[in-house]
Amino acid sequence: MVMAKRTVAKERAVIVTTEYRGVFFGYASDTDGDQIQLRAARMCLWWSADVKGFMGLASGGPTKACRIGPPADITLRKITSVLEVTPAAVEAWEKAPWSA
Amino acid sequence: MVGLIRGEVPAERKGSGSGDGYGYGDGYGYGDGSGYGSGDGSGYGDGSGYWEATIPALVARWTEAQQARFEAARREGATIAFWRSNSDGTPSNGGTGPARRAGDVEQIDGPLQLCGRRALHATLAPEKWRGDKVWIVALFGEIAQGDDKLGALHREILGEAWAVENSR
Repeated sequence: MVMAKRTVAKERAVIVTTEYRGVFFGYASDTDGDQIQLRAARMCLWWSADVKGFMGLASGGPTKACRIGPPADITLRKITSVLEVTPAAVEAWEKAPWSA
Repeated sequence: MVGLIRGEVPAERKGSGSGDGYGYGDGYGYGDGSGYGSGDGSGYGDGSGYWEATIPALVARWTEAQQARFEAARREGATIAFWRSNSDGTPSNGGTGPARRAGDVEQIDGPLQLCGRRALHATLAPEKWRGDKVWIVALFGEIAQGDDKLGALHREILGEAWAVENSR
């Protein structure tokens, strides 16, 4: 008997941007395709200059002055980019207070 | 160094690379005053649904009684939305009246009319409004919709979503 091989996609922390001008941090197991499901997604409403630009949200994460929404499980469409997030940035995102 | 897994950084985000960032550095979302939730600021339904999606996790932090009331309100067909107040619960966006608390039920006389005393307001774009405290509310009956706002003649304050200054 041949057992079907089952693979479990590994989740990773990403930032996803959309055509609707959304910037989301969250955890995804699949970042291909037209839609991306993010677990515990948090929206960045505003980032301060000390983030050093949009890519800083992926490299260092949000800083104290940034405005970040609460977490939600969400499906995103109209994806424009997906960025990997460094461990340091993940920590900053997880610590960021809800300040939307 | 950050890796781009797919796509490309939108052109409007590219720029000098530091300081104010990619041209939008210290603006809202992409600098036009809105984030994702309502896209270009036009309001409900045409965005990601992010704010609505936050509600289950926010409600899960409430007492059992509050959660039961939330579910009951949904079953009754209420529109669930957000409302912002000052930290003491008083209106922070032009409204009047005393500090609101979870469980408060308000009803006013019609006819329903947004942008004034003829509506009890709420929003599905809470980031567009001021106020240190964000509540989850239920609107009953006829609902009026405007830019980033909802209005009804009957509103119930279901519970606190978060307080900006003490949100964790």
